[in-house]
Amino acid sequence: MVRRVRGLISRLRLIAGVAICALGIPWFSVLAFDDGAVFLDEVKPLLERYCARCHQPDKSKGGVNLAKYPDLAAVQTDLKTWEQLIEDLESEVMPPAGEEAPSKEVRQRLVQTLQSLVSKVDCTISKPGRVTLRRLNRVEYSNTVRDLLLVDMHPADDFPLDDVGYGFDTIGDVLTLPPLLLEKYLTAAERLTEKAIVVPRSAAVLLKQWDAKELQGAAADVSDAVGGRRMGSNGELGVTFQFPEKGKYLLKVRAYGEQAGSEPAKMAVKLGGTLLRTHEVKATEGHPGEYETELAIARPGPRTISFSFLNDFYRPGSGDAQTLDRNLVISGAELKSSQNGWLWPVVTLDSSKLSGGDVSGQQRVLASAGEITAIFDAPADSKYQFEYVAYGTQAGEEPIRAGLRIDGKDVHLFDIPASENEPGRYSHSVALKQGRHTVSLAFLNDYYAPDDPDPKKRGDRNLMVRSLEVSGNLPVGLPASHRKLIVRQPKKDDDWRAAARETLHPFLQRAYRRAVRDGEVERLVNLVELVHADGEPFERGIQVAVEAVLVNPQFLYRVELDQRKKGEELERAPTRPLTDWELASRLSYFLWSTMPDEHLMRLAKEKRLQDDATLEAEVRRMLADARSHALVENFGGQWLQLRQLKNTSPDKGRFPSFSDQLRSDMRMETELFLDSVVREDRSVLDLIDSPDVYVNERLARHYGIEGVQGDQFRQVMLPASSPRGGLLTHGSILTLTSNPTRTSPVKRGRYVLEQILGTPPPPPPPNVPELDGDKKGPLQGTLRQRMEQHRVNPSCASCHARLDPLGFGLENFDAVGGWRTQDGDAAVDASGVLPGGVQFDGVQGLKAYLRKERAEQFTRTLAEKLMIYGLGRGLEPTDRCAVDAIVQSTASDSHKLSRLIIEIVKSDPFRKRSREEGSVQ
Amino acid sequence: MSRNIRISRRTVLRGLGTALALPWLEIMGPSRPWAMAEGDTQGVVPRRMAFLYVPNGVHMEAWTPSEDGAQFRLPSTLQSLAPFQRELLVLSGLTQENANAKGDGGGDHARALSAFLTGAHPRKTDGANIQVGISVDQVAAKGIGQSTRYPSLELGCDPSAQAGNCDSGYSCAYSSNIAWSSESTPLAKEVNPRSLFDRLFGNGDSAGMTQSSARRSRYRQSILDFVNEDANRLRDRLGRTDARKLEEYLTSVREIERRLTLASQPAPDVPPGTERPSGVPSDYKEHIRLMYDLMALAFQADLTRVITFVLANEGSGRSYGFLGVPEGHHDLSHHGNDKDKQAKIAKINTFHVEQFAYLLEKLRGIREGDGTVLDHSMILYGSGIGDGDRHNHDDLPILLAGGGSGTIRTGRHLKYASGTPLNNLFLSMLDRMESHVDRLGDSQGALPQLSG
Repeated sequence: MVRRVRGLISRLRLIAGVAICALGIPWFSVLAFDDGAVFLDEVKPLLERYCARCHQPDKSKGGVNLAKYPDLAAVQTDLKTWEQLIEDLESEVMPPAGEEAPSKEVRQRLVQTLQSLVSKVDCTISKPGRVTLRRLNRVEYSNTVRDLLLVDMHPADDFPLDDVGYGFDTIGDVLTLPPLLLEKYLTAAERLTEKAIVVPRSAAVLLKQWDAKELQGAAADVSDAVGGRRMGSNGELGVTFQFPEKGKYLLKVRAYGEQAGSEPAKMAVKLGGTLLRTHEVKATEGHPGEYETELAIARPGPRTISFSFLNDFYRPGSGDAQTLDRNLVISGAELKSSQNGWLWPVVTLDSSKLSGGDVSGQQRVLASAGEITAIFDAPADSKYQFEYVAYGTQAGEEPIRAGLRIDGKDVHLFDIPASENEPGRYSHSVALKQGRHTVSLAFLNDYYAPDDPDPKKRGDRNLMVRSLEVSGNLPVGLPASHRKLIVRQPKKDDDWRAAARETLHPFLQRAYRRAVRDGEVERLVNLVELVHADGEPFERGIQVAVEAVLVNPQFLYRVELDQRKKGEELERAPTRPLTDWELASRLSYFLWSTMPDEHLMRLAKEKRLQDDATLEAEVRRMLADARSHALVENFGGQWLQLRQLKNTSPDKGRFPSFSDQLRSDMRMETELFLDSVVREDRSVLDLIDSPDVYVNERLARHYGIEGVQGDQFRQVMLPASSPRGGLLTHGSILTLTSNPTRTSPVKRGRYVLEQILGTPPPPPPPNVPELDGDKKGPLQGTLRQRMEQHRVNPSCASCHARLDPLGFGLENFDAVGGWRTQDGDAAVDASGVLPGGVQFDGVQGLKAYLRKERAEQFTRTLAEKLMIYGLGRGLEPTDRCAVDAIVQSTASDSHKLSRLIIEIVKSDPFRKRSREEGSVQ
Repeated sequence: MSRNIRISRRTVLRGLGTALALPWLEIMGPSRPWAMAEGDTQGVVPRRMAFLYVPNGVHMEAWTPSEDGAQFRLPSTLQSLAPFQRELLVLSGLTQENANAKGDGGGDHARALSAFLTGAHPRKTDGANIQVGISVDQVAAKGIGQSTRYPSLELGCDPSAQAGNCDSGYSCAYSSNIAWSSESTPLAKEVNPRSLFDRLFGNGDSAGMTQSSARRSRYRQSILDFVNEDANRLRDRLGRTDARKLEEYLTSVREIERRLTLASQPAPDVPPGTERPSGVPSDYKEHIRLMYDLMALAFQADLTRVITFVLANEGSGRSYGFLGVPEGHHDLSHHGNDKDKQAKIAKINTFHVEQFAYLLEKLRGIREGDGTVLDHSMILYGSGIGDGDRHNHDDLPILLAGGGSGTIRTGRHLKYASGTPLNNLFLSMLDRMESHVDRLGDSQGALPQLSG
């Protein structure tokens, strides 16, 4: 009966839909008005009489509260409930036994009236529905940054999981963006850009660093401050340095002011008493500034560098708060050789990529004279800098001495005084030809005197090398991500903005997935400029700009505008077609869970995507592409609840053959099967029943299929007698619908109703006696018998009459999907009788019934789920016209999956947008 | 300079022992400003609150003490709290009325969690227009959270549900999230101890370490200014609902900016002996304890004063095989008065309470001012369901540990008239957090008897 009723509803729906759509009947609104009256006058009184006692605000059995539906409009917002209600009325499940029930005639009339009211939707008015601004979910974010930056990282692994609505994690309304997530976006943006873009470092060599304690001088009133030394009144602090050669040097002082009065603290930098530069120190505590001064040294030799506080200011007031006191705090200083140009990282070789000596943890150890060797392939003729991170166990009277040898020639000598708690960096530059070179560090002065009576001389000197970093003067061997992003480097200083513009324009279009608007690039270039002003290299500026894009709402959300810019004319039409760009994004996130590829973007840019034939061709191209696996993984994983499989915990004692390995095989099977339906464009009905399975040896053994060897999965054609084939026979689904210790026909039945047939049952009412006993004494017999006794209870019967038989049909599969004919001592009875009297026996009977009699309903369910997933919203009654048309077209094209998806993509809900008034004044 | 920092920092993180437990608490004193003003404990010692949630109700017979007042004996489920009996209130009779169906049918689990700290009735929807109310922790976070790096922390052991329908017609947002910063914004939980550790102490990662951190934070600031401006422009061109959605983003930007300005205080040092956790432990008990360790640390270092922690999502079907209870928790909770099942539920309850005792032990081990962190805290433990089989939301199992800086007379079992709103307790707790509100959810007024 169930089948017949549903068939009737859909036929009616179809007739009504076709008639109204075809004729475009203008008097529909009048009719609707009459319908409202019919509902109030004819239907409501009957429902109040026969149903309201149990379905009212205080009771709401089965979750149905009729008070929520004061008029027909309210009914039409919740068609699912009302279709169920009609079905229960007609199959006489409701009112339950023992309650007052209407006569046969009244019942029939009520059912017919309700059917005509409920199934009517005006298909002439296009209502594409409202899609809420959608944040990229974790998967989409990860895929998008991968495709945008060409960097293979999975930053979203660390993000909080996205909430789910309507069964999917693509729902705009529940995808929130709390501070925690923004924080993670910021960190991810930094890491991603750091990986995507190579930033050269200054070729200048760090010669010396001083911390505040090392500053000396005759200044009075010096005291310790937060992170430095404070000069409380005008005075001078300084250091002395032995300059090794003549040339230019760069001095950097870190300082801040305890500010007071009308001007910032002032600091003079002097060399040998001569004033070089006066800095205004505007920085404040906690954020010291860096102040650079160039030094020109004419002759090698020692010089004094000093820092003077010039403008002390003090005005006492009553108490600390009113006292004004300006001081200068110096945190430290560093001196670099001032060489122009940048050094590009070429390769970093950690200890595992070096040879020689002994490996100890993350370093190589030379306990006696020997060499640590690296093979270096110079990508071009250039000067290369070799920098070792090394230290030693120091012993004897001199530090470790090591020689840098390249291709057998000694080129430089290092003293290595560093020890384990602070390894040192030792570098030297050499010009090399392109090609392979042998680079080694030789330990020259081994020392071993473990027994020397003089404790000063006793010891063992060893050299430890952690890594070798090679950098070069030319940007060569850069990763693809860098080359794709940075279109060109600035040639000279005044070319910066132009180079930044050329780099950021194409990037922005790809990141925002739309045409770039006026002024957008300029604002980003300003950010690059800001970084430039700090003396950072161009690439660092681009990094910061890219970071700003990656945390921008126009990247993080899929934006569809409802308003023109202020000042522009507002469009008044309640709906609009999506722009080509918006459509491209909807397509690519639907089918690929990532941003549009270049082909899609080009079509969008050329405004060719709106064309039906183009759209259809694009869908076919996209489904055939490997990226459509995202649809299997993300849509399939949620629709079929495969993502829950990892949370199941079958009882090890009862199912010893179950393992984590088998669990992942199960998921793999289902994904491969879905993949084949997508790529080979099979009928969606194959999902219900099909002659093939995908198994490896382990899974085949679990299923009792012979002749499969090895871990590799393959397609196996089944004999006609096999019960396997189709989703419902997959170990994955059978396991995730079972309890840890036994099967659950109720869970399995519910799964079929929800995921396959799209008619979820209401939740059980509270206080239901469990299977194992109730007030009349414990239930007896097999699980199935106990469930049947349970169903004697009328308040359970209405739902369980629908749930249980579907689950019984799968009883030949145990709680981990293995085949069985016995359940404990009893033989398995896998027959079922559905409400309305349809009988079947075992899983093959169930599959045959579903495939033959429920094909339309299954196709509809799949269509609805795909639409929810793809649109990012729940479906509304107004979507019914679209769904009807999609289901019909799919059926007429052999139920092919491609047809189903093409029709969804071509439908109004997918291609149009309902406009919403905004907050623009 | 930065090079040295990088290496030494990494060495610290890498070189620490291998034990997973974080054993430093007892040896460490408080590590933040109030230590400098020992004498002035009244004003300086921070007050804190935490809310710990267990799903599916408890077996009340083994939970509720039979005696009232100070002379009560701990029932079997609460036995592990014996060392803390004098620092504990057992509160009976409190009700979360708005978790009831009120005509919305099934979905008690979703309602139980989302109403628990809000006292509001969640709108039944699978996604569109989710709505419940602001939660008590977020009221406190808005009230006093500005003085700490994190106004609040939202933690748990289960991530949000990943697929399917969590509870009959309710979006999983309702059964996964306990903290709501506005009536429509649930706050996702951090479940990975490693990520939490990184948030609290930084991860020593190389990101940005190659340049001075001052410069890096200045760029961050510029980036936030930039996106803030973009978001504001964008908002004007969105429809009403979308604009409201974008407001979430803007709120988060403001919060991160606030944190950046606070960041002049450097991240606290990693306490000696602490290892950066390697991820989510596969062992549930270890997971809980690691999170508790980190919560204690966050309080100790005054990184936050407000924490919520969900031990498992509402309606959780977690299996407790290691307790000899392989059945799923939720299935089991529909015990139908079966004694065996009730005993198994009590086993799960006892396990959860034992972990609670572990946290209390940690908090009591940290001395500060004139007492311990526990003395200055209010740690609430409970469930939004009374009995898992009845799905009732009255007579909820509620414990409150810690003295609230001397404002609560602990060591008693207090019995309130059935139907007393749980939110009355929250109102009283907020008063003690200097975050007074006149009303929260269905509150009717302060809860009497707390001070004695």
